[in-house]
Amino acid sequence: MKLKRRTFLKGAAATGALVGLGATQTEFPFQGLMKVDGSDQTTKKVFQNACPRNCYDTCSMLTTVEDGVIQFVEGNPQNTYTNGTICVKGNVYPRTVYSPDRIKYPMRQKGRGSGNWERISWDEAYTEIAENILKIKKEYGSTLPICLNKYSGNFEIMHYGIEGTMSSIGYTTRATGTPCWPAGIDAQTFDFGTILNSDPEKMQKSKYIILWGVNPAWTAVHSMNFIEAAKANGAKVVVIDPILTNTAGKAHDFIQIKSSTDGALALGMAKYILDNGLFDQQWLEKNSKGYREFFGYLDNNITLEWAAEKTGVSVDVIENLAREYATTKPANIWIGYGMQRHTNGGQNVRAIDALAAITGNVGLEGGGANYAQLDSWGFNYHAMIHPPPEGSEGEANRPVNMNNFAADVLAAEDPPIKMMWIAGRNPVQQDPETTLIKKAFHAMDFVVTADLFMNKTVELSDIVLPVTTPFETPGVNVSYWHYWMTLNEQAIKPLHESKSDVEIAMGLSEKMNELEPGSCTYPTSGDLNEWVGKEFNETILEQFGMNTWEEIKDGPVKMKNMEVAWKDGKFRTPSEKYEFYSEEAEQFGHHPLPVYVEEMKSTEDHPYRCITPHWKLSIHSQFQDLDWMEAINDKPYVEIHPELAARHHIKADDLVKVYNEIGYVTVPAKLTRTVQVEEVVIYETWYKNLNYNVNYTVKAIPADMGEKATGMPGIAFHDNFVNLEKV
Amino acid sequence: MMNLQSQISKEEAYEWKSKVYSILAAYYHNQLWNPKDLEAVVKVLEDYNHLYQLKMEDAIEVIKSTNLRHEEDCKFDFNKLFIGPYKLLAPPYESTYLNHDKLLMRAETLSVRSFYEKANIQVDGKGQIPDDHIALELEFIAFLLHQLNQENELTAIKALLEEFLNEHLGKWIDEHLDLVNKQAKTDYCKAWAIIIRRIIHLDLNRMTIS
Repeated sequence: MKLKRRTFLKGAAATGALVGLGATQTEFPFQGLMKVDGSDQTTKKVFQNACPRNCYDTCSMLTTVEDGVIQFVEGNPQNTYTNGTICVKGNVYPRTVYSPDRIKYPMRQKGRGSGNWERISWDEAYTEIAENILKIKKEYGSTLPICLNKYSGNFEIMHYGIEGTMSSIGYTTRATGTPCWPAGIDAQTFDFGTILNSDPEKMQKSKYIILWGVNPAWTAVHSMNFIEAAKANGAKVVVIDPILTNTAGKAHDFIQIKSSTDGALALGMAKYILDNGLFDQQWLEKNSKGYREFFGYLDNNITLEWAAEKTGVSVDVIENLAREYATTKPANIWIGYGMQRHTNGGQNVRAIDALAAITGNVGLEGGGANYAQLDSWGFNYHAMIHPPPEGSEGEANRPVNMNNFAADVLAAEDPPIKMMWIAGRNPVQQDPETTLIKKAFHAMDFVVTADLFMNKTVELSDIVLPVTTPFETPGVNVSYWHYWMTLNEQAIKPLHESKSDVEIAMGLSEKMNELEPGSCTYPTSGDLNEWVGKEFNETILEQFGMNTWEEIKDGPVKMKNMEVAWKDGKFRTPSEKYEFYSEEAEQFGHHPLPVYVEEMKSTEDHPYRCITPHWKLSIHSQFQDLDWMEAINDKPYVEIHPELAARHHIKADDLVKVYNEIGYVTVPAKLTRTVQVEEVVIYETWYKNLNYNVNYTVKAIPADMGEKATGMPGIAFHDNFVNLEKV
Repeated sequence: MMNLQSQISKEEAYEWKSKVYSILAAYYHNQLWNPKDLEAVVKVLEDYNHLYQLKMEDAIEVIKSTNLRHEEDCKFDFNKLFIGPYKLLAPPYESTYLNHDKLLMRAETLSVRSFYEKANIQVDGKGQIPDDHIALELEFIAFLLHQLNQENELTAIKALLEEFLNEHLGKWIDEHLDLVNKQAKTDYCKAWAIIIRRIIHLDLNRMTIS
């Protein structure tokens, strides 16, 4: 056999066009490698980072990088809240960055939901997105058919560049509100004028701590240090929760309360405090408005027997709790977000606030009714604020309710919603009413999602854009709980072809302006490190005791004078007093006083309340998908009290169908006495290898409050009633 | 077999090998989708198959007979195996096979990087693209083979090449291709796995380079 040399040479020539073989013989046709003179020096460097996830702790982290590769991440001891340690989720960060499963390139799906994806270049992605935007604008005369749904996946300040992307193309439709905490925000806004908590590090000064519907042992682990310190100083810790949580396990007393009746317990306690003269008359006279009306309400409407009946907590326990709380100073209440996810959640928070007020614990070091704060967030939002292009149709963005997203998107008219941009969210997994959410996605002409990993929302998108992790792009972070600010340095180059949201905005702007000059106002270039500096203003520098923003490069800084919330007694209510009686509340359709609003009841068909709290190994759909988390736990379960299980002949590990009128989820049973007999618990996380989503059963029922401060009411996630069936 | 090989010079053999490895690299670089390019590539592979009696004519035939109508399926299949956005069915990175963490940018990756540095080579996009992506490892081998015809320090380059094949690509290629064979839905991607295995094994089993 003769070797077909001619073929080979011909082949080589053609291949040359492809792999660069056309060059002279002496030059190697490089594809992904390149020649260099000598190697770079191996350097080891430690960078400052901040965890941007939707978590109380917003940890200051230190990232050790060698050869351009993250070696490990640890807590930054300069931040006395983080205090040198990070949680299990934070420790796993390198596994996010270096997961082989990250979304690496911009990709286009041929047929939404088909699973058939093709790799495209950033230029192709920008072009397709820009063309869709311009087409919509031409067809409808405005960009209102474009809807942004962005929220809590990354709270770093530069990530508000996503909103900036939308602002810079015109007026758009925005998913508005927050699913997390709005009812409580409104409640505290009516009472205090805004949300403002004392520096959580001051909890160690408390002599009595009530952790009310909050599980920091899972969801704010660093706060446990201060709780433990308070215990060591002789403080008593009481946990009030429908579930015997890990936090409850560390408390002196655990009071298991029927869900959604927290207001009844608070009012029962207040009644005892009133009847026994344990209130702080002086504080009330000086600082409050309407306490007499509140006392009148207690006198006329509240008995301890009623409170006991409502809450499932006996009269003697309520009496004891009230007496201890009112007579041990300072006494701190930490109000969790779980307990306000009810149709009476905001009202319940108001009743708890009132307890702190009548006992004179407001404005006291180690005291307070602590919920959250946004005072340390006074940045410029430079990445976000961009004007619409000249001549944009309309006057303002159109809000749709983030908490009733699917229904609102489908109902939108004049113009309808045709395109969605999703960032920092996973609505197909995490929003209530999954079936309807899917319908809304399928009703779109075009869906763009920017994310780190494939998930249920990416599955229903046309284009996915790979985004950076916190270690790959600069920024700055603050918390909604503690008062530290942390610079987030770019520690490594962005892996694969990932880009930050601001870079995406810039790239899209360039393409939009290329296709239609003047169609996008977002800058097309800029140094992201300089952009971090543009987020600072005189006020925030002063608040944090900095002369220039660059001082943050030396380490985390703490906002000044936030040790004790409301110490100055200057409340931000219309009366500048603490308002037991709130006309603002009345204007928003609530009773002006913190009266009890009936909790939502189970029905004959769906007799059990299903609570869907946060899971210890995840924040919503983040983290649980990582291999180490899966190694600890790789399957969901429904927690059922043995008595209830027996009623349905369910044994441990039996598959149980948990259902109601809108859907069902099938999960194995875990029998446990940590839950109450008439309530079941399923954690709201995401398992990437399982077709599991508890939100098929969760209805988008609005919580009572949230409209004033956040534009939309919250979601009564925990007013979900179901039935059980052994599979 | 030896007869055929005796027909070409050592220099020509190096050039053949270099080009064949460049083709394999191009496949993993996601660059081999143009039918014309593919046609040319097939011819090179056919000749190489004859030259070394690699018994991969069936696999080459599959690639040859894959028409445009099926190309999209092949692309989607290829993406599911090596590109994303789903969890990769056959990750094209050495460290995901050899490192107990199964992550990217591990010690193996940096070891590959230091091999590249020995030859004054680095990844275009260093620090962003893991150095041990199979396309880069194949390209590196192609580069070293090419250098055998260009430089004086033949012994050093041969040693580097041999060491790289045995210490890196050779250590994980089978596990990777087994995964491809198991997970691929199209004959096209399976055929490539056969071709890649035969070509690499030829050089792993006996240093046909010398």
